[in-house]
Amino acid sequence: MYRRSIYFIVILSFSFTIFLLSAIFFVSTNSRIFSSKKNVFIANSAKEIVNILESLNLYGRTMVVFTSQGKLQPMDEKDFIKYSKFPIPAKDIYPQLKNKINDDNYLWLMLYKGLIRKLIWISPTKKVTKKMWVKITPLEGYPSSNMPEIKEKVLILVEPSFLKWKNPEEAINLIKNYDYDILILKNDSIVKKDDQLIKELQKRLLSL
Amino acid sequence: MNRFKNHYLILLIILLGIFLRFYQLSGQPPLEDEVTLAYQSISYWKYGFPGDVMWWHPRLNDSLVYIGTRLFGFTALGIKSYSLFAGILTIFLTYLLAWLITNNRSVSTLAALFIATDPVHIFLSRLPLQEAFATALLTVSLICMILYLKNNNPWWVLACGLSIGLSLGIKWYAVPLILGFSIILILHKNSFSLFQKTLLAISSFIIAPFGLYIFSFISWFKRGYSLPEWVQLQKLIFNETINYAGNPNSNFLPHKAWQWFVKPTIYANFVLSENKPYVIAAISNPLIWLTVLPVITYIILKIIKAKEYIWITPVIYFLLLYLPFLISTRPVWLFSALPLTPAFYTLLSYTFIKISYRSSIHNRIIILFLISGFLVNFLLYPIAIGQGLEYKYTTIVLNFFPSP
Repeated sequence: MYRRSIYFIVILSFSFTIFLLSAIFFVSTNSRIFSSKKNVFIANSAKEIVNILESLNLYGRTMVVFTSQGKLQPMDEKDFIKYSKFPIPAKDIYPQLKNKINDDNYLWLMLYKGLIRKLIWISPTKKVTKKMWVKITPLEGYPSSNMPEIKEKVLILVEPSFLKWKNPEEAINLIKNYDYDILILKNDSIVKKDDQLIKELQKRLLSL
Repeated sequence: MNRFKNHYLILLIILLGIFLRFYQLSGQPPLEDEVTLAYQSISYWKYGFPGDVMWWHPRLNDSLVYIGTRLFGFTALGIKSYSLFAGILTIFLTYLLAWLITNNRSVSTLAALFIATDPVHIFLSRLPLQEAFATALLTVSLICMILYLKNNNPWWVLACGLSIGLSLGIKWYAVPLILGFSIILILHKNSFSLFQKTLLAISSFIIAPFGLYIFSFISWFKRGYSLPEWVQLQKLIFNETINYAGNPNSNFLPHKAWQWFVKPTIYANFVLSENKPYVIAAISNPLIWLTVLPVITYIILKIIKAKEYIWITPVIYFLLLYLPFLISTRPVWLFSALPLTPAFYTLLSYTFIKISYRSSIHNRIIILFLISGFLVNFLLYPIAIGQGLEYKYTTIVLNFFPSP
């Protein structure tokens, strides 16, 4: 009596799952918005980096970070949990996190909001410390001698510490390994006196 | 007339269940997990970020909390609405489950009353945690499987698989059931060929649940993650799930699954609200829960000796959900026992009613036992709703268990 139903159920189950997988594929690929041309920005603070990415409306991209630091600090969101009774104040944690942004946590914040979906960490240190928050948002660390090949178009962030470690020529050669549309040079207090160096690097990168 | 009377009883039991789950709901201060879950529901829906609390669980829970808060705000009702709904639904589902197996209104009514008044079930129905909803979905899957075995309609298998898929989106309790139900489906004798039954098992228990499970991560995919990255996330979730070591706030509590049916067990949480401490705790009723293992043994013997095969499915359901916890080396707390309750209350109710039929003395003993059991349930109720420090006897009961 129900024999035909079995084949109908098989077709229905497969179609249903293929439909859901297609929806996921569509959502996932359309989240990765690309910029039409190559842009090089100089950001004077961690907050400016977040602002640049927010204003460009780019989401779900891989960011290659050139740095000399070996770890990514997580952010303790527990500061924002103040409660005693219902109703719980309905608030978005993100704006509050953004107010507490600093050099240690801005990468984590960008991961949190989905401005970037993955971090590739290029540094002289071979091991990258993964904290709990980073576990769920992929982070891969590599020494500059063994940088990974990435086929997609990436965002690049050059931290000033990297320029202390590699000279601009070497830095440019490493950056040239990647196909990027957005490159942000972070110009903070460590290299304030090297303002000219950053500008020179920007000029060179723009001419690539 | 008799039939009407029995329906009237289940309606009364559901009303009692609703009362016990809603009583002073807003007055029960939110736990830290409840607050973080509320925030997480926003961050998951807006940013697809699963990391505020319990990142190692699948993500359907966030969506359910979010829907509740859209409907009723960030109130107690809004945050807990899906658990409350599932908790009340499970009372009726347990009634239906017992009815389908035994065709006996006394057994099904007693099973529903057990669930309605169980302190562990009440505790978890009043919290926005995963267990109450997962229990309702797993009970639906068990009912669907029994309906299939009764009338051979394959659509019940698909419905069973969809319930399993949704429950996997909450927690991974149902993983062993996929294997167990597939074996039952294939071994069940009917007019379908082995090939047809295998096709039905694959499409209903693997393909359809997989689609639903992966779709529960849709907000996470909106961040731009790909399928290989999703597989990587599943590996992380798996590793954390099997290696989870707990935290100091809960590791002092009993956390071995063998303890559930051997001695009174507790799962508790503590909150300080407006300078007043609250202890919210689920305590398993020792009179009732300690009868579970003897009853399961009795039913297994019945299956073997009397060949009462109708009991195979609920017993396998119980064993498949219980054994992984039993052999697990990681800590497992009392709340993980909740998905077992509809099945074991059905088995318990059947056994008690059957014993009561033997003679008037048996009948009186069972009535006395049940009255004592329900009295203990009601005595444990204040502790389950956050009033553990309000009465002298409740503090004595709490002192019976280890403290931090």
